[in-house]
Amino acid sequence: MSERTRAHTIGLTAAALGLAAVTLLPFATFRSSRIQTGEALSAFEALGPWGVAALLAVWLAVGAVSLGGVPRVPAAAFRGALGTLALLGTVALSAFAVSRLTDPSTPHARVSLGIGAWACIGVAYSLVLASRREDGLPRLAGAALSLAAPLGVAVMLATGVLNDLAIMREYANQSDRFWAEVAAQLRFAGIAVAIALVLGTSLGVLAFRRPRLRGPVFAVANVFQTIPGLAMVGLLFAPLSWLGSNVPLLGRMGVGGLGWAPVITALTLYALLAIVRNTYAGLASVPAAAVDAGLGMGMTEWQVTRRVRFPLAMPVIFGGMRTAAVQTLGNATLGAFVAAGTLGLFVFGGLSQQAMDLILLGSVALVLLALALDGVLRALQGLGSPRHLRGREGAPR
Amino acid sequence: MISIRNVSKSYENAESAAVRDLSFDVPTGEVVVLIGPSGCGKSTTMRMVNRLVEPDAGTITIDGQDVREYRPEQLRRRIGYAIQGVGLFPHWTVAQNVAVVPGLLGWERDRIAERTTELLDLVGLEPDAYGGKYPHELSGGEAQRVGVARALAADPPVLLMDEPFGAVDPLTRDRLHVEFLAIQDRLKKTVMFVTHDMDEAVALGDRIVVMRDGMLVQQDTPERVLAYPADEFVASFVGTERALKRLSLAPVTEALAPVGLAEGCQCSVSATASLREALARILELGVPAIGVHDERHRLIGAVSVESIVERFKRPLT
Repeated sequence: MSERTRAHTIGLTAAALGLAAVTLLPFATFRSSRIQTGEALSAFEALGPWGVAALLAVWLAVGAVSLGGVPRVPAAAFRGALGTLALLGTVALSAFAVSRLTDPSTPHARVSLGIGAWACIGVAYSLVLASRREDGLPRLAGAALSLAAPLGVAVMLATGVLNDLAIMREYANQSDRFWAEVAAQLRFAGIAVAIALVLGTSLGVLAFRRPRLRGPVFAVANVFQTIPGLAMVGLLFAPLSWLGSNVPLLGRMGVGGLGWAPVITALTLYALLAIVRNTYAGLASVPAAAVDAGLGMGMTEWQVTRRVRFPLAMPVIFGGMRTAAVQTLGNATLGAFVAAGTLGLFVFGGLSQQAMDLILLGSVALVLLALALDGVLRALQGLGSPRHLRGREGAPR
Repeated sequence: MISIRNVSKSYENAESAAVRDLSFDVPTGEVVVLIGPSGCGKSTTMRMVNRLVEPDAGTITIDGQDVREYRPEQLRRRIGYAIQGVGLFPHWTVAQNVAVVPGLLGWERDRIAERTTELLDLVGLEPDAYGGKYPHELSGGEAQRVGVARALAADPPVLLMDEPFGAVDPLTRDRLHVEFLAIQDRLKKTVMFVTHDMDEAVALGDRIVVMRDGMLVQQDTPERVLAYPADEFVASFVGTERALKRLSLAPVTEALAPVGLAEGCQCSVSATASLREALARILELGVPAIGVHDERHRLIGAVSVESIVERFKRPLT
């Protein structure tokens, strides 16, 4: 069956944005030293004619595939593959730009990716994600598309091809601290999500079982959500300091207005809402007839909960957990404000030193961590929910 | 036998009682249909039998045993339960759904598998083809067959069925009725059946209990409910075509006239046919009477419009 389609809006938009990014925006920034103001270079200046031609060709191909007239499923696969190619190509060409622009006579010179290159990478990855979601794409192709770009970048990082890029030079200077802060980021987020998961599912179940408590539970969870992060650690400072100095055990554990305590408390409170809400919504979405049938056939209340309610609510509950986990991982940068570390340190440190590469090191690492976590959780969700339950709210497509 | 004696139930927030001083029996091996408009208390009555709802007053016994003497779960595992919307577990296969009660009763794996196969056969679903399907892959009629199989799984003597054949097209529903009656003919369960559809009540019930506002208005055989509605309410509920509904309940042998009446008419109906079928044939063919033959195709009499009218004039016992 050759199902031909009309023009593909996402593909055409991506192609237009990609072409614009290559031709109109600066592709790289050249600085004679780490904290000098940079000189923006166009793609042509940074890559030379062949490099520009290669990038333009990929984006033009994306546009061509998206014009319509190509059977839908292969078109989606092509777009995903071209997006991957554009992403990896941009990263590889940026390394090529470094080698063109620097030589041993300028050891302190730095070349970083410009807004155009980042735009190319962003648009390319969006295109990959979008093609992943198209119906009918074979599972294997989908999995390959999900993995190709991250793997490609990982290989380039591992082989040292990118070592001369400014952001990687920054990493080389900071590598010990970098991994320590990544670990702190993950540790804070992990602990907070674990606590929020226990607390949140309990509160969600409570809201479901006791209609009278529903209003108060959601009101409280909602309030936490509306307090800005900095205000939250500010508000926590006084009570946690008091606890730390007046309860000896807590003091010895390091509880105080600064350090891990305010970070984990704030992150837990932020993560609650998504988990409470989805637990409640998941339980409420279980068909009444299934519960009635279970009870009527002689299941105990506990058997109905364990064998009927929870399995049916699971996709929605897991969706809430995924949202909470990804959000919390990002929010953990709060740690930088209260002397608890995290990748936020690089971002804020970079801002105060006006060191663009340091800011980027922190933020790019954050984005990659969040994407990786989301990908892993999505995959788990996909494996965990039987085929016929997908498509329910919160379940992966 | 299920006995309901002076049972009452009020819900907290409701203005009037859901069930008021209700008494009736479901004799062993019979189908008693509870019927009435929505909110009349028929579902509440059924749910009190397996204690999904606890009565405020009165007693309910099954074969002389008060249902309150059992733990609710133990009681429910011994009563088949099929409900509106079927209530199949969407995350379990057909076979797993059918196996619920045997599983709860702790049957051996092999015995459960054997029983599941047997039941799917009984309700006309090819076990190999259907056992592994999920509920969302079934048509409405298939899902309701599975619902019936699941209710019968542990071979309970008593079945509670709350509109188990709702939400399917009329043709499928008729077929499900025929199949249900065939199964009931073999298994002779004691069945309490709830519906709001008079045709379904007439088709399935050995007796009908008509309810309104939580009270029993009339209980009788389907034919007598149609012939002698207790009051205006029952009359309007059974509908203006109640005489036609009665026709389908009476076999032609009840209006048999001498064979001579059907002379010259080459056609006849079987002695097991209903008066409704006979009348339909008479109208179709435009003849005054039609022959009736036995299973060996010998004419045993005739049915005419007059003989049908006479039959309807006779009082019912």
